[in-house]
Amino acid sequence: MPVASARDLIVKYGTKTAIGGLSVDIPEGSVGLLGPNGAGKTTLIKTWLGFLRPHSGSAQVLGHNAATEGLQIRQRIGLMPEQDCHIPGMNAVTYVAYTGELAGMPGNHALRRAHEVLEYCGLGEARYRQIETYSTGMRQRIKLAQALVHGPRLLLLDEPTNGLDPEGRNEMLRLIRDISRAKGINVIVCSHLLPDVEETCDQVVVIRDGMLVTEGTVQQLRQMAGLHMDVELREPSEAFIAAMERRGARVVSTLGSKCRLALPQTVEDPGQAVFSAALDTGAQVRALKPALRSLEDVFMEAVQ
Amino acid sequence: MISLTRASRWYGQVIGINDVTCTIQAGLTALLGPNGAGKSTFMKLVTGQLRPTTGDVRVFNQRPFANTHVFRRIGYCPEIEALYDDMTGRSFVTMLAAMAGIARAKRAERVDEVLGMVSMSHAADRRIGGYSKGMRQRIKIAQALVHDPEIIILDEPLNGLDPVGRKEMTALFLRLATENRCVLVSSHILYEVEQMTRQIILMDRGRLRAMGDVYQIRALIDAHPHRVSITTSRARDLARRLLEFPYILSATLDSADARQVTIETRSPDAFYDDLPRIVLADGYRVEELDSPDNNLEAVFRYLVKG
Amino acid sequence: MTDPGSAPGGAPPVVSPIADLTYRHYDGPLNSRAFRFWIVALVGIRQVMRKWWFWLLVLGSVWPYGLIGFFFFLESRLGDDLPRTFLNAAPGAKYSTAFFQAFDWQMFWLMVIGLSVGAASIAADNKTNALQVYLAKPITKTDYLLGKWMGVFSVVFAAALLPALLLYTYCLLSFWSNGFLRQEPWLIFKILGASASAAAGFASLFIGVSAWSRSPMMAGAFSAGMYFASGIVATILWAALYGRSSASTDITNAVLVQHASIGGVLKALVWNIYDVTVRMPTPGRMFMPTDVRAPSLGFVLVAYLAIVIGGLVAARLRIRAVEVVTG
Repeated sequence: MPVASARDLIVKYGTKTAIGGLSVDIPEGSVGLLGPNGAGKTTLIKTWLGFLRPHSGSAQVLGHNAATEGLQIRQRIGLMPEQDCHIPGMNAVTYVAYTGELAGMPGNHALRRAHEVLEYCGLGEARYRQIETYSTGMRQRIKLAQALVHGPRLLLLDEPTNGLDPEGRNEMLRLIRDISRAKGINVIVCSHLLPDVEETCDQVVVIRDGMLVTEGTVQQLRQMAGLHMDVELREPSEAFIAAMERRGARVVSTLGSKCRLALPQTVEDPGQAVFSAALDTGAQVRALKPALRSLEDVFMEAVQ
Repeated sequence: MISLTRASRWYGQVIGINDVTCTIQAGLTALLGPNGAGKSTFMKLVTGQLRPTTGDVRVFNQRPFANTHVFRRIGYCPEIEALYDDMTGRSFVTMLAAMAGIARAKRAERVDEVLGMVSMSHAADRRIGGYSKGMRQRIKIAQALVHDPEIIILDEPLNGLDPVGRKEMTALFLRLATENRCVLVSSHILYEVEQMTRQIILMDRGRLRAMGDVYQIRALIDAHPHRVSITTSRARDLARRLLEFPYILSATLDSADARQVTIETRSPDAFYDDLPRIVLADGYRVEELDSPDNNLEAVFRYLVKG
Repeated sequence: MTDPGSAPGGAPPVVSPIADLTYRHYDGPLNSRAFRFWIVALVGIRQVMRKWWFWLLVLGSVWPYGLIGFFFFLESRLGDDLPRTFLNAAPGAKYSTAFFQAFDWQMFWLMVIGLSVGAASIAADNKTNALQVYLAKPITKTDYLLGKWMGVFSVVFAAALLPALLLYTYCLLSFWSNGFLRQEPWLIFKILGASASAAAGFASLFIGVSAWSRSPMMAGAFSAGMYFASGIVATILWAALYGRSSASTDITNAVLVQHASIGGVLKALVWNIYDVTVRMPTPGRMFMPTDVRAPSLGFVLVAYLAIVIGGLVAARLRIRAVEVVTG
């Protein structure tokens, strides 16, 4: 059963159509919901949460009809909004416990859970501090904690790494992976940072102009037809490329000292070809990998 | 074009940047560092919004603080939202063009041109209040470029842009950098930086940690031996073979994938030079060769302590 | 027995001697949603009760009843030796008159208490985008609004009611034999009604203003400004009308104008509830008092409902769930 779905969904703001006949199934696991600005992602999420009434068609989340059962849906999902948000004048434990109570948890259970999730989100030491004093990274974590406190079956993460520095980002991505892979919670990630999606999601759904344009597993989508290798040299070398071309390879693209080569099927051992070309031309091979399309390429192809 | 000499800046007792000396030439340079490293202070010193507490900041060989001659040649895109919701994109950029001293006759044409550069022509006459985050970002970039500056300072310019926008703007920055301008971009998104440039300035807790070409910087980090992993059907065999070389410090078989061996070395050049010979001589079938710590991410991790 | 850490529909639970302390699902009890608004209200109440200055305001709302109680005490001890005070100026409605007088003195403090809880309540949430947190949870806009309203209402209601109840208890115990209960059997209901209508008025007004603001300070300043400005305008109009009157003029309309302000409406409603006459100097003859009755209940009720409903509708209009996810 899909975690969330839409059938011929049409959503309008007044006379403006934001989604015009979308049908999509979000499978279980971790899914990246992608699309350029204005593609209708936000509208779709609002509809799933029960804030917008579909003009026609239907939307479902965890088996509930989004048009009529918004409360049941919100009971079972956790939302981490993109914007910085908290309830003023509270320390982290009080705040997270309070959001748990808002979801219906009895006070003492909510407080116990608040401690657990704050610990899990890495705010253990800081949980008695006022949220107003938190740094960007900590604010991002507490948004995750409040989304998890009531034990949701589905997490909606909107730009989860927004404003984080590299270390904070890695830590957040690690948490998201753990939540979806080890803790069995379904996750939908909306992000403009495609490598983040590549790292955290098993599947992606791309929408544009309120229509589904691409879906599939990340692994599938990234595969390339034919035999392609990415080779990185220490320094860019024309001679090496010429040597590879003599061995039947075709240059697909180059960026600095990196190049992507298409090899004919007749090349049985690409490693042997590359190393011998390197040995002949004195180039130093720093990396050699079967090429994968980046999610960015997949995305660009889908939306343009 | 930009030079700092032992420049420091405090806010009361809080340190913004501490004793930074560096010069930045034309081309695209990335300014990196964790939150609170002093990147914004660095940019504000260069754009003349702040005066260094001690030391000297020079831009075009002049002091930029409150210096309108310098201001006219610098474009700055701040990280914060500094837009007026009730203006249209066009009127906002036009207003800044007027403030930058572009002659009235040429103004409209130039504004059209920069709005085209950031792909905002289609929405230029709508209210900024109704813009998406990406559109706001494009307008902020447009206003930084409108007076055709030689130095362009961009603080997290890709924030809020969608993948299409990120790609377009990255291409725009690269084009500007090739026109002999100095483009300084701060960013947290390291893989995007890698696609833009190898020239970096790395700040940490107010101080300059490293500056220059990423690869050269990586080569100089001795504390961390280079790790290289090789995927081959005879991994155990290859590991044994490689350990015969004195510069190989260790060879580890991956616990999950027994076909992968990871070695550590302090002489990566020697290793890489010898590798093809070893592979070809003994007929190893190498499927993958990769170095997990030869990238910007690793440089950042090694040099910046959390 | 199922392991709370296992995934829904996942592998059968494996009992391991090592516990996973990272994250587990919640499968504990859940409360019904019926009183969810009360959780929102309680947080508002708890937050203000932690502030020291709040208790100063409470003190402000207690003293009028203390003073009246003190008069009653003196009167019972000194009897006729006490100069004739307003306390026994209204035969048959002595206690109602006294309670109304205390309420009149107390009202300023109730307003400030209402302001300190109410003006910030939604404005502070707007400032930190807290609505996104609330509405992503299984509560409705109405739950949220009702909770915020109840938070202000409860505090003001308690501040109005508790001192009055203390005085009432004192009177009941001390003047039982004097026929306190027989003389004014409905007084306790009047007290309840007066406290509730004042609290509801303030709560709706301040919530309405607060919802439209992103800054607690601004909301507070605007609410207080509106309250006092309307009061000043009404007083000026009243002074003009009163000044032109002579001893023979009917001042009913002038009194109505005097109460044509936010505070005035609340006071006039409470005046109607206590249903007493108030002594005012006769125009032109300063030393000859006139007994004035409360302004017409019809007018007052319409104005009062306008404040209450207007405030609630204003707040409701501003709270839009759609803003939870921004593009």
